[in-house]
This record gives sequence, structure tokens and C-alpha cells, in this order.
Amino acid sequence: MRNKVSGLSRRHFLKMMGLGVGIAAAPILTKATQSRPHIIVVGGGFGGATAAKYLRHWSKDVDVTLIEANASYQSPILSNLILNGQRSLEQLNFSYDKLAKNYGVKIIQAKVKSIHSGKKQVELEEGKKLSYDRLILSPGIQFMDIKGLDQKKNLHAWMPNSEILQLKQQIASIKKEGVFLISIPKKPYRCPPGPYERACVVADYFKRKKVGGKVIVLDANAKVTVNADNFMRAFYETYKDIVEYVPQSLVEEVDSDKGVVITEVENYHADVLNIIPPHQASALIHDNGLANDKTERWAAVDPLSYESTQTPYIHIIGDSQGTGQPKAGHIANAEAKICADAVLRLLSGYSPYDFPRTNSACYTPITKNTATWITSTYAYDVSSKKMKLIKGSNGTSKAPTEENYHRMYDWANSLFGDTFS
Amino acid sequence: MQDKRQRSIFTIKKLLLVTLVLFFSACNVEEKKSVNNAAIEKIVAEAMVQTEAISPLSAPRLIQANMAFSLSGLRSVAAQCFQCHGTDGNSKTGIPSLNGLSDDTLIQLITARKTNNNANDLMHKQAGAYTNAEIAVIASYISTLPKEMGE
Repeated sequence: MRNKVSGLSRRHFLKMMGLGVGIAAAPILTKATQSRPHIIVVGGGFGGATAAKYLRHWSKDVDVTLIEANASYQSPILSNLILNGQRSLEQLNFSYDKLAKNYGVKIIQAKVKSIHSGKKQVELEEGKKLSYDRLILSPGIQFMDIKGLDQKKNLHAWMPNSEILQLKQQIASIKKEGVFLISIPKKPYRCPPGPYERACVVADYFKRKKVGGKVIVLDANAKVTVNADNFMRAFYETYKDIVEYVPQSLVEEVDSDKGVVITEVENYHADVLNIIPPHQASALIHDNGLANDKTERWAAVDPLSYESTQTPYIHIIGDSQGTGQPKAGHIANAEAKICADAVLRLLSGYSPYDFPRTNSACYTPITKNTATWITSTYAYDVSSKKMKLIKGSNGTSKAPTEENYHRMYDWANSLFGDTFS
Repeated sequence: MQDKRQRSIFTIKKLLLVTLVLFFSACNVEEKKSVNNAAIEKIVAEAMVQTEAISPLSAPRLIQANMAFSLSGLRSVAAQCFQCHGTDGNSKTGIPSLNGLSDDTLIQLITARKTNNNANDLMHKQAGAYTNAEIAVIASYISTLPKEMGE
């Protein structure tokens, strides 16, 4: 495939790449294609929305359809601030209207029933079938079972929906000296700093409103997985009378009726259990035989194009893919751009760019008016054919500051804008 | 005719240089002095603009493919700035816009953040992840983007 020039003319290619300006001649290497390429994107989160947008931003010679089950997207980014009232769900709600209006993305609100990869078709639940030249899947995650856990009683509030409002109510109804318990699954999980951030936001809320309340953090990992200095300082200094941090505490069983969490070592009672179960790639990935990485939980892809190593013409980005990059909105947007570029190139008969880079960044509130940040950058490593962390590119802010707290909103609003408008 | 052909060959040579520079920089090879050189970066930046003017039929197919690698890579690498600085560098928040700045200004700004040795600066960490050659091509690409494209 590499270096192959297909039936599309070079001019067509340059036009697709947005570089046709100034080239007056029309050199036709071979005959033009019969029809416009059609790319279907499934899943309208940070990955899928960005892919759909940038495909059309970079080329008006392709048709793009975004299939999403919900009418709009409720961003998990900043959603912990709903718990302390600093954000409303409305502020974190994004429609797909701007992708349609500004970029000509066709939006279909529907659930995908199955993928017929042989025929290159997507079948919707209502029975309609849509054909694609390339298919990009960004369906996110699904949760694995924990014995005894009733997810309706013990909320995770870890999906892009309104469940965070219910969790807010549960926390608000905790009596004096009440206990909030959050459990963190083994990595990889979505939004590495998120659970620690939530513990801080709730602890800050308790500190300000409910003297005597406790926050128990059960971490299945051996230590804080990210931004450890800032979070450990928060747990052991800022919230030392509130937070009890327990590493290496894998939740083995939950009694949802009694509000009890059972680990190998101990049983914990709490008024509100916020159990975040272990993750794997979305059901769409598993049901279509795409969860083929070593753990059989995630989709193995070629990081140059995010094309499945299992099924050609299907690309998987965001939290479902198994490149080892973090699972979070900012980097899903980054992966989507690499994927969109690669798909346009592949449709023109060229190979994907050989040295892609992605980056990850996140601001995390620690108190009601301070925040920290983390960042890292990844590059394609030719010898291992994997995305690898660039040495020295990862870091965190030294301490939570008010400036970072304000910058957090700039960062999030920029990311929302680059993704949804 | 001859003159045009020679110009094309000259541009193709520049193009190969760009490809080579990108190759070495992206391999994460320890930044060599030859790469970390303002003069070469300037040539790279110029070459990226000039490649657009190449006569399409003058270049062998392989060169076309190489050009496509460079140009496309430029776009997908530069777009990594847009998560924070807005689509095509048009920021709508308190984070500065990159759109509308010259390539020289962009190179200066990004390099200053790379070399400021401030571990408490997020952009210092980001900028430090890119070689000077990559910064040059990113700057070149962004400096050619129209204002408010796609709006």
C-alpha cells in the first residue's frame, strides 16, 4: 500500500489536503473517482466529534456522517464541578448543530446495531444500512461487573450523561459526620486524575459545609496513578482530617442495599458509594470482534492511522483504542486529528504520515479556587511501532494555584470549541 | 523550459531536506547540532511554502509521496496546538491565538517557552517535546492559515 498513488488525481489529492490553491494546471494521472468518499464516524464525544469536524475542515471532497445515540453531549470534563455547584450541566452540554452548520457534517441520532465489515456497511437499530469507505469508531468505554453492585443505587457518574446530577443530590443529602466513598479501578481507566479530583472536590465541599464528613478513597492501584505529589499533599495536608486514602484496595464485592464495600483486607460502610467499576472498550468494539489487544479489553490499532489491526477500513480512536496512551478527552481530540489526516490520505492512495504526535493535558481543581495541571506528549516510535511518551514532556504544576484555576476554564473552553464548534 | 526544470529540481532538493529533517527529528534522535541550526530551519520553513508551487508533473512519483508525507504531517502535527489555541490557532478564550502571527514570531515564541527552563509552565513542557525543526514547520504551516477558517 505504501507510496501507492491510486485512481484519484494528484490535484484532487492536493485539494483534499487543502493545498490546491495556486495550482492552476489540472494534471490528471489517471481517471477521477466515480463518487465522493463517505466516512462514517460513530460516537460524538471528544474523539468522534473532532474527527468528523476535521475531516470536513480539511476536505470538502468527502462526505462525513456522524452517528450518535444522544441528541447532545454532556462533557465529563469539568463535571466534578457540578458537585460543588461551580458548573451547571447546561454549561457542559454540547449539541452537534455547529458541526452540521459550520462543517457540513451529517448528523444521525441513532444507535448502531452492527457493523458488516465485509460489505463496508453500518446497520442502525431501526434497520437502516449505511455504506462507508472508511469507518471511524469512537464509542468510549463500558463497565465490567463487580459482584453485588447495583449501578442504579451506587452511581459511577463516569459517563457523559446527567448521572452526575443524581450524585450531586446524594452528596448534598449526606448528614453531618456522613461518609462518601469513591473507588478507583486498576488502570487503564478513563480520565486518570478524575477520581482523585472528585475526592478533592467533595472533601472541599465537606470542609466548607459539613464539618466532620469523611471521604474514603479506595484505590485499586498501588499508588496515586497521576499527579501524585499534588494529590498526596491534598489528601495528607489540605484534607488530612477528611480524606482517608487507601491504596491497593481492589473492590471485590459490594452490598448495594447495606452500603458496604468489601475489599480483600476490610469492609467499608458509607452513606454514598461512588463505585467506578473497571473499564473495557465499548460493547460496539467487543460485539464486532475488534477488542483484540493482549488483554482482550481494548482495540489494537496502528497508531499511524488508528486503523484496526483486526478489520481493514475500520479505525478506532479515543478511550476504546489500546495504544497505551491515556484515556481522556484532550488526547482523544489529538488522536482524532491524526486519524482524520490519515483517512484523507488513505482515500487519496497515500500512506499515513510516518511521525505523528499527540499530546495530553488536563487542569484539575484541588479546592474551590485552586487547580493543578498535568501534561504529556507522545511520539510514534519507529522501532516498536508504538506511541511512546517523549522523555521530559510529562509534568505537573508544582502546586495548586488560583491562576491555574482560572486557566482551567480557558483550557476546557478551548477544547470544547476545537471539538464541537 | 530548462530554467523551470532547474527550479523544480532545486525545490525538490529542498523538499528532500525537509523530509530528512522531519525524519531525523521525529525519530527522537538526540538533537544534532546540524538540525538545531537556525539557518536550516529557515530553509525548511521556506521550502514548506515553496513546495506548493512545484509543478505537479515535474516530480517523480516517489517525490510526490514524500511531499505528501511532509505536508500532511505538518498539518496533523501543527493541529496538536489547536486543542488549547483554538482551531487553526484562532483562540476564543484567554489562551493566546497563534493565527495571524508570522512564522518568525511563532518560532520565537515557541522556542522561548521551550528554553525558559520553567518546569512550572505547561507550555514549557509542551514546547520541549518538539524539535526546533518541527517548531519551524509548525510555525510555517500556522502562519499560512487564513483567519477564522471554517466559521
